[in-house]
Amino acid sequence: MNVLMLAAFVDAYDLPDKDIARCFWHGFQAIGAVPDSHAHRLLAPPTTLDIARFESNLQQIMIGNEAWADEVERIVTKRNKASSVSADTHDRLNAIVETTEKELTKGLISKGLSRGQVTHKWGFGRYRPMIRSAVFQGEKWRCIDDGRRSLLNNATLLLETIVTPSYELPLHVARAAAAIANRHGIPQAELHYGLDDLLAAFRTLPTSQQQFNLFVTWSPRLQRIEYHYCYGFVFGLKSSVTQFNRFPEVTAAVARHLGVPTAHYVDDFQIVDVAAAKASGQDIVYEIHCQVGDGIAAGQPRPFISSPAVELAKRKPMAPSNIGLGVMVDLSKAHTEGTVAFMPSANRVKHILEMWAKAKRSNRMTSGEASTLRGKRQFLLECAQGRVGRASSLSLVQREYHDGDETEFSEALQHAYEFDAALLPNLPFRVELVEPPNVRPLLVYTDAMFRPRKRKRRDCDDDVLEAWKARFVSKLGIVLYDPHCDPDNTAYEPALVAGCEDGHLVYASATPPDDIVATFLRARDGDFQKTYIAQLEVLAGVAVYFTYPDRVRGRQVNHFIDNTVALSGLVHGYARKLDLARIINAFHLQIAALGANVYYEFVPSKCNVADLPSRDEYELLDEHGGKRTPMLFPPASDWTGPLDLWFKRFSANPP
Amino acid sequence: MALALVALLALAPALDFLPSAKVPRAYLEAVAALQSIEVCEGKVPRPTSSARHVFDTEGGDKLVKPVHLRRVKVAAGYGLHFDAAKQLGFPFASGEQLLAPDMLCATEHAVLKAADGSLEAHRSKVIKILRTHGEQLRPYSLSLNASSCRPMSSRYRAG
Repeated sequence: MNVLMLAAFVDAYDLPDKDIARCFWHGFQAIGAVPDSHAHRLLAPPTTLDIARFESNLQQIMIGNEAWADEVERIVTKRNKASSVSADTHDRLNAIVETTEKELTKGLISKGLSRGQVTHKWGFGRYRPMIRSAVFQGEKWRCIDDGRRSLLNNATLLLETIVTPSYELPLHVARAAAAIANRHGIPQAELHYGLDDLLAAFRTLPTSQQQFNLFVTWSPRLQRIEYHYCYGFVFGLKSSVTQFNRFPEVTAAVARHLGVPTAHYVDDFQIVDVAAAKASGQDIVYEIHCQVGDGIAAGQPRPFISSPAVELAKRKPMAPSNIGLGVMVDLSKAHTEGTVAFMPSANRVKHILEMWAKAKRSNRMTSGEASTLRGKRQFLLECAQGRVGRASSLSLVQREYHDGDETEFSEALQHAYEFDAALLPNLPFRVELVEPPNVRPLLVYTDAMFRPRKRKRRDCDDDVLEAWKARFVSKLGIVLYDPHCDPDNTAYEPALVAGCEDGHLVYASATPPDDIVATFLRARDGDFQKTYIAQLEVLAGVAVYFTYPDRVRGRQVNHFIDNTVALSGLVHGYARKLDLARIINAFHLQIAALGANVYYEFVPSKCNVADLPSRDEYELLDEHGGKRTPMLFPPASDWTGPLDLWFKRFSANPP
Repeated sequence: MALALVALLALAPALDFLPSAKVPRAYLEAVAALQSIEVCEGKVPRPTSSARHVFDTEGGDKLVKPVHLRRVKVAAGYGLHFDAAKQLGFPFASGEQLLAPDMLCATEHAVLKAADGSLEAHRSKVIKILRTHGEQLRPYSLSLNASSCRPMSSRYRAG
């Protein structure tokens, strides 16, 4: 490690992490109160009382080190000597042995030590081991040392937390590059995207506390437990992430000071550069690491790893499109058509569907598995158009937080699986513009009128549909305005958009169809709930895009709504109530299929022009040249059928 | 030169764990050379929130803001709101909003240098300077590493 070169970068560019060179020389702290490096986002500072409590807790934990080592030995021995274990556990135990062997072969960890050797090395009670476990990630097992169970994470106080870039970074750079080119009157630059990875990541960060990067495994050969310590940081310690990230924070910042647009996600470097640079940006990122690291030039053999280094075998060379952070990013049309496209990698989709299939096969999904699946799904849907599919995670939320010890693969989970199986392989690509478009946005207002009926209607019977009408008065109103179709608007240009022959302002009103309100949830006693206003507000939203799909296709829309529950649901793409979540899901599937981008915004009821048709008042809209049309609703069967129908209907490439 | 070295050490704490006598002259030269190739100067503020996303700006606003902070500053009146909303554009998250100042600067440098055809030559010069000073400092670093108070060497075999 060229510690002086690292220090020279810090001093030359006045980088905030002044202590990093010393830490590489002396070793990074693993537990205890880790000082602020100034590299990351500051957490709320602990009070004097917090620090006192932490110190006291730390002391208590350290007092119990020897007893804990006894406990770890007992747990690991019992686990490995059990006469019968499940197939999963068997695979995991084998994986621990194999991955530990691999780490040993690579020289990432020490050889196996006995308890006596460990005590001799660090002294009685001055070490604290972790239990090693393994998780299957992607296509391989990865060892995780349990810093939480060993209480080492409780014995760690961090003052900062990392901030990672978004997978959208290439789009952000493309937007900046386009604006710069426009400002300077030069042609739009072609952009390329490349990625580099650091070799062995956490393991290459020297620690000053190897006695807490210590773990216990079972040696099948010796039929006894063994202690290993890691020369760098293990996976599983709270401090590993923040401490390791200090290094790429410095090197990425150096690259930027040298004019290379570079960011990093832990050990993954993202370089978004002009194509004319011919990969010289990626070369500079390599050179920075080479010079602060072991000095081994690209292509030369590296007999051993002595410092963080770029792993060329994993390099993704600069190209118009590349997979970064699990998302395929296509920059090839940024300089010609002004668009950047995102799509989840096929591997991610496959992995999620495999998780579903496994749960179904075993008829089992635990709260933890639901949480993992939900997280992976959420990340994947981030790179789909709009907020599509988010609301269908409701059954996973239910399992994660509300089902207690229930593990059966329920009917609700089955529905969610079917939905994902239909949607995920056909997720609409997310296409974003590099510059604001010439086409102005549509203006949409929607509203629902809903109130309990003051006096019960006499003509009703016990039929469900009539019962709704007997209890409630409800009506929906929708308004759509296109500035390009309005001769009085300076943006008037009917050839630019579709649908001007139907007028610049269209509106509709209707009573919500009986068969749709029949799908709304009832209270526990089977009676109606007190209100369904949020459901009706979102239903009006569904209706406006269903009624005027060709006008909306591919357009940006400013959509005003006066109900905050519905507004929040539409912005997040999610709601806790099952019926509301279902309508929101349908709404976003429709929007995604139409390739529209919608900005949802609050409008006070007293300003919401859609309030007028919902109350049968049409005068003002007619004064503005409005044309009344029928309001259309999707057929009743769609509300109870597979949700992907909603996507199929308007999609150019239906699943 | 000696005075500059003293000044640097006083102002530059990256090596403050070493006695000043152990800081080689090559270090001062490296710092000066690195500063000479810096194209994006200035400190970047410490991050205070997670990374920005386009959707944060363009996906909608669930908050009910005070009227004067809304895009349409009308509290009552259907026609007034409608007429004002007709003029609205669609929110757009610009590169300036989305990127940190140093990333923006690096992008500008790359775009402009590419346009005038000098980018490759500039970067070749940068790589040369990095190599020269990296190699000059390496022997001092190796000597320093040998005196490391780290508990054990961390040399791993390349896989």
